[in-house]
Amino acid sequence: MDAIQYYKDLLIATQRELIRYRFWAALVSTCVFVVMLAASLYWPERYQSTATISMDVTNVIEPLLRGKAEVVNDDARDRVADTILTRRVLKRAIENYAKKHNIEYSPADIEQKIIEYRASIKVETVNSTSALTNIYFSSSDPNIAFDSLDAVVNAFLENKVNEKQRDSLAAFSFIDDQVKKYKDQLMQADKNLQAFKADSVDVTEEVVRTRIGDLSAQIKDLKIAMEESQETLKATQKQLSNEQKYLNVRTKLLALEDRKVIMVEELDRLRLSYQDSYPDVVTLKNQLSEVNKDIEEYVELMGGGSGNTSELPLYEELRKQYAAAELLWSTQKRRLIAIEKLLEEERALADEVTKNQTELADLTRDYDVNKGLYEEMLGRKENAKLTMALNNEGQGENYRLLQPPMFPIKPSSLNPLLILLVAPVLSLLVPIGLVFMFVMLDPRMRSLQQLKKALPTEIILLGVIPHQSTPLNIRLLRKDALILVAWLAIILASYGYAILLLGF
Amino acid sequence: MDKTPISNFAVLNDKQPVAIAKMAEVRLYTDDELINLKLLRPSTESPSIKAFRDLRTKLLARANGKNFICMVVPIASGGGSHVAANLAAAIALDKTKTSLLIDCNLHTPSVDRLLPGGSEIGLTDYLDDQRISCEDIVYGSGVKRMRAVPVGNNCDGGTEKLSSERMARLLQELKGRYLDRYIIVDAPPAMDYEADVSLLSDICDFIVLVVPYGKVNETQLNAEIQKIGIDRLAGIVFNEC
Repeated sequence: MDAIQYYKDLLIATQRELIRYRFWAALVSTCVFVVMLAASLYWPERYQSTATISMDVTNVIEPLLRGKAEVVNDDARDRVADTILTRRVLKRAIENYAKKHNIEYSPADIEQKIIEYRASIKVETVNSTSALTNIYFSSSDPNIAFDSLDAVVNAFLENKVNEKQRDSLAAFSFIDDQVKKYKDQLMQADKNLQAFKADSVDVTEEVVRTRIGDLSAQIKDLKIAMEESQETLKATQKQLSNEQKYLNVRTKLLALEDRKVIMVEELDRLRLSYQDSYPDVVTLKNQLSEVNKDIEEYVELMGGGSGNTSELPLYEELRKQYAAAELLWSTQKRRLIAIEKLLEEERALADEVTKNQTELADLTRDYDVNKGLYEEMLGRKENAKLTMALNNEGQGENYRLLQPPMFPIKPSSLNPLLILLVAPVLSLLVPIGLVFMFVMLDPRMRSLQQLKKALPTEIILLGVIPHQSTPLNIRLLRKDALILVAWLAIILASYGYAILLLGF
Repeated sequence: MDKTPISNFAVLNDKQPVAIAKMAEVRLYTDDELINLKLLRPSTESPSIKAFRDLRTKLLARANGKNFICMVVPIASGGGSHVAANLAAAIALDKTKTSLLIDCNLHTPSVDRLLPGGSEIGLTDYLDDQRISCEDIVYGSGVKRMRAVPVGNNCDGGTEKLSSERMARLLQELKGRYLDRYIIVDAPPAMDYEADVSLLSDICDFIVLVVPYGKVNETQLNAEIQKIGIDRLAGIVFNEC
């Protein structure tokens, strides 16, 4: 209900504003009318020639060769427009047209014509499932429209045949080149693999690992033996050291005993000449006593054994043992170095074997990949050969001129009469519409509903004063109405004249 | 044409209220003249007369039967004087009441056209000259029991004149002289002459705000309501003229 009232108020307001701005409305109306009148009189006539091309993509061979030969059909319908509007086709069409009409076009003219053709041609697929494509050519001259479309359609079909064969050949050549390239690559891979196998050491990783294990075990054993030798050396050296001390005491004892013999001999000699109280005898006795004392000490040190007991055989034996142990240690040490060197060599060999195996895997993979690609390319080459053969025999995608260009008898553009007929209606509707829009968008209040909505609740609406006309207003309105009627009469006269001009 | 103020021959010689029947009248407008002036015709029943009668009734109810000074203020120019004049005419339709329309719209005066006898001096002359009495500026209109005070001849400095003490005293004197006289003040547009409206609103009993057709939006309306104040605002009149 509110909505109805709202639109009712809008219409009343529109009416009031139209009366208020009657001259402006009349002016707008006249402008619209004049523009449409002029448009109807000077509306350019366009003639449109139409041709239909059918795209035949079905053939008897295709089902048999599905998956084997590629029939070019990648949404070809969409490409009709693209192909027709290409510079190549349009230039060819313009040249054909010029040849037919004995016209000489300069390069600049051809460029201009290409632009004009692009603007004049319209390509339309009948529907998404249909294979039919309509081609339209519009021109102000029906002859030009017809001849130009004929030239364009012929150029398109001619281009399509050439293009198809060219495409097939190009595809075949490309694949053939690829096949050769992959064949070379495959051969190279095979050669590399063979060369590698010939050059690489014929040792397996397992053998090297066993050898390393053996050598490591030997080193371990040798180290234990070396430890034992070391212990033997230490023990022998210790015994030798003890034997050395004994030898020293013994040597000193022997020296003292020799000295004692000399001194006894000297004493005996002196006693022969002198009394015991002779000082030299006394001194010698004392010295002898000292020597004896020392001898006793050394004897004690030697364990009370007789000074004449020789210990040399034990010492010699110990020396022999020590020399033998030292020799063994030295031998073991050299052997350890030799085995460690061997182990290093084996480890290096193991690395080399691993590296070789990786390289071998790479080469094998390379070979396999190249082989796969080569085989695939061979398959494609066969497909391309078939496709080329199909295209050469007219199979695959074909374009047929289903409906040749038709000569346009009637202009296809909007009928000027229609514009003329619409002119009075539109010239009346435009000012009304403008005022309606103005009233609708203008926030100023033009109805009681708007005012009630805007009023705060505590404010009372005392009343609505209705519109009241005075005789003066009415007279003025009448005068204006007369002016507008005269205005309308002029417009109607123009309208009648325009109809006459259009030949009705 | 007799341009003598009605007060010269009305019974205004003393300060006591006098009977309406004894008040003299000037020539009354004919129906045609009333139509031309867009004034109410008592002889016909029209939507306009009904609307103004309703308006009159509501204002009288607000005043509890006592006489009042009511200022009619249009928010924007367009129909304020029409509402004021017709409200005065509607009050005068009642034989027991008289109305006095004071033209305070110094910028676009309109009351002169309602005086069949014309006028020589008016409100501004009275405010300028102490020798002029209020009786000298009250004229009989062409509507029975309706008087009018025109703007006068000296509208310069109008805002200052309206703010004078003499103006306030004039209104009180006019109101107090006749208990059955209802005073309608025709004010200038509120959006254009804010100062004038503000000054006049202080010396009036209440205000009627006129919303002219297609000239005021919601924001402007609310702004004017805020300025006037809800207490002094009797209500809103939507003028479709």
